[in-house]
Amino acid sequence: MSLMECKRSTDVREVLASGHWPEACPTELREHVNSCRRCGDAVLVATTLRKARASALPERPVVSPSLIWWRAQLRQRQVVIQKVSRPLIGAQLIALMIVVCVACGLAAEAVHTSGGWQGLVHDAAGVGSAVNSFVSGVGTATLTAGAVMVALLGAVLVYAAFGRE
Amino acid sequence: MTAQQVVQALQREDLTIAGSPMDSEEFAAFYERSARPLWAYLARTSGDPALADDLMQESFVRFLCAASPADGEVDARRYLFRIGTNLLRDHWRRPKASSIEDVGEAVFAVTSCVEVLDSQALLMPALGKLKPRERQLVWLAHAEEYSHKEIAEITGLGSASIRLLLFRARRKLATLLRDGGAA
Repeated sequence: MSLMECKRSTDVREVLASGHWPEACPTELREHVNSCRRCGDAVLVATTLRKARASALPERPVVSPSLIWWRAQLRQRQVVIQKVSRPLIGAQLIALMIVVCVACGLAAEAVHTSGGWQGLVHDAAGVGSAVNSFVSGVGTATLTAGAVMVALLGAVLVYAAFGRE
Repeated sequence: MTAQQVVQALQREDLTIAGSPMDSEEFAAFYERSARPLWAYLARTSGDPALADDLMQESFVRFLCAASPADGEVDARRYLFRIGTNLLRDHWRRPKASSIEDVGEAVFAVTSCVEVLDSQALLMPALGKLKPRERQLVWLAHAEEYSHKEIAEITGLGSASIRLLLFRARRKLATLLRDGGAA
């Protein structure tokens, strides 16, 4: 199988591209195509595929371009919404984790103060006293500092998420 | 994109496609000129008109959503064919449908004799005997008349290998057509 180009392949391509094949094609080029396997293949394949392309074009009605435009807009809206909701979901997860941690701390304190789970059930004021003892144990200043830290971290998180966009 | 920009974008009634070099009117004209050639390419290389419908629509949607590097209609059309080629490749890579519900109705449709032209009657079995990559190459080269360099851009193949692959595919298809698609 030789990959050497036939000397007339450019002429054949030009005749095919200009639509001059076969009627307006010079006789000697037509004779060459009949005798050259490479050019014969090119002409056979090109004419068959072009006929197939021409017959395929009106074969099926295409959907309206406005429908495609609308679908593209819809998809882009979804992408924008996803971009916005991603950091929000992250912030919500962090907030949830903080709430769960605080709740666990309060529950542990309440259990400890009431002398076990049974004491907690009987002592209805157990939770309230646990909160009081938690606040007094940790200290108001420390709690305030913690809240400020959480607020700052949240702000940094939101800035980082939106700043990257 | 800041939150304010996002809200503004969502509130705008005439939301244009960000990144797309075309407005809706330009796109409509481009679509009218490009949709059928793209459909013909996808249908003939996949052998499945219903799949070609889906992939053609998806190609245009992705074309609009992508930050298109296309500059001018020729570039835009080449970029569109590249998207279609990638979608087709993804489709072929996916596992085949295993359930009867997953098989499209077009597979079972009886093709009308009127629709089948003589050349197509020979061409379709012959194309069916080529590998998908060979079908793409001969179609892009001889039906769409793309150069080897353009075919390389569309298919992602090395431009040096296009010549050899195309030569083999063309010879194979010509042999099949001469033998009536039965070789």
